[in-house]
Amino acid sequence: MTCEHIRTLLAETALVNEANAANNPATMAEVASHLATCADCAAWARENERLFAMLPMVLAQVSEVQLPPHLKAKVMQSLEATSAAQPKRPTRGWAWPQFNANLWRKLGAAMLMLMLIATFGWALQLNSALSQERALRAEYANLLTFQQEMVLEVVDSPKANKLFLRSAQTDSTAYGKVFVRADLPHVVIMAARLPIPPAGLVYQMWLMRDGKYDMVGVMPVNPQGFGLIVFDADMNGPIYQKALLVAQPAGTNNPNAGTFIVAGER
Amino acid sequence: MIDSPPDSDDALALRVAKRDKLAFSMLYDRYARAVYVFAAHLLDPNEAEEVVQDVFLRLWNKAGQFDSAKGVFGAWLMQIARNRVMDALQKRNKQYRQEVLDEVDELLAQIPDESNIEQMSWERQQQHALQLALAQLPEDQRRAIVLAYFGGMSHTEISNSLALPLGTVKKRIALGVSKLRKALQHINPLATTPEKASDAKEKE
Ligand SMILES: [Zn+2]
Repeated sequence: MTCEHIRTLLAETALVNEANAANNPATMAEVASHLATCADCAAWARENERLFAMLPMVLAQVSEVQLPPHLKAKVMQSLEATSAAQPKRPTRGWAWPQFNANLWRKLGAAMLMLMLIATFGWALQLNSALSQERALRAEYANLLTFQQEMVLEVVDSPKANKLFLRSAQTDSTAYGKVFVRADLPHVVIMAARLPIPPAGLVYQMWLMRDGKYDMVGVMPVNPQGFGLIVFDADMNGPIYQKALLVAQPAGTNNPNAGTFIVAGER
Repeated sequence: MIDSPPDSDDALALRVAKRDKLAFSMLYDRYARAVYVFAAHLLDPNEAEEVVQDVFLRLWNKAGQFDSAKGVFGAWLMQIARNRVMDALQKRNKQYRQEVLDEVDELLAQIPDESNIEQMSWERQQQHALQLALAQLPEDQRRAIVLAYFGGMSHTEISNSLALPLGTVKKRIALGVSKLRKALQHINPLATTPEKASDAKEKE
């Protein structure tokens, strides 16, 4: 895709809620990888965000609605309450709020992370499932420089519901996890030690809910074999019965038409 | 790295992360009205108060996550606000949403007063330029942008609401956004992003 094409896509989708933008994961992955490597387009996307954030400022300029003067005291009071109630948590570095933030950037971050992992290398001494999970998580915390809040909100949470993915090939040690949270629509899928997809094939991620498979995205793989998919489901805490990462030609609409790379079942 | 002025948003946000109430109070004075107006127009005055409380409480607790290298503070805070407002708006019925969005659209169609532009701050000049550009957008483009940004609507919902094909909706949003960007560029001599061919395609 050219820069021009990317920017048209960004302009079309930037204002629209992300669940809607997510209806074409393959295109999104492409845009994301472009944004991760093209500084011009990334700056272009940031400039769009600045512009959109000015829209409520403009509304405030034309509106006659006034801010109730008593509100400030109330807000300041609530600070006291939370300061007392909550122990100060260490901050986790930069994160844009996940909310409205557009999915392009989110995926861009994922791609950026993959590149960073490619640069710094991926530790291969992974023994137990727990250390595997810690390692996956650690790579995130260290390397994902923005848009990590949503991922961490899911992955870090004690409320996270995980579906373990095991290698479906005897000669492979690939593994991964699908993370969801009952109170959030975000779904995070990570995998490691993935072989590089054979020429002409991509890794399509399939998740089964209510007995039906959906292709939720193409998992990009870095040279160290790490892959990540992040998306929002149409509901909070979707429960997936099965998960399959399948090597198949892009756009294949059947999970069984290809080679299973990792698979998990509840 | 260049230090930002002590009363810049960035500097204040840094201080809020360290639990500085004075800095918080200054950011409140700068942004609370915009957040309140946003919520009051789309929801109602009572809920708007709750939104302001939630948004600023979040600022208080999460200011450490803002990084000025990744974007401007106002955009970060407004994303928090928009998300909060959209969550509440989704719970209202369709007719209600239609009506409030009509109202916002009407307000944004007003041509702003041209006086005192030279005396405005750079931020204010930008807002003024954006306000003018919004008012001057073709009605259908502005409408599509209002439905998307202030209504949190999807392309499909906008397409249904405006009785237009999906492709047309996308095109209108893209064209509108491109025109708004251009309006800001006139104000911003330091714009770093070169506009490429996509912006040149003005005709539909
Ligand atoms: Zn580009």
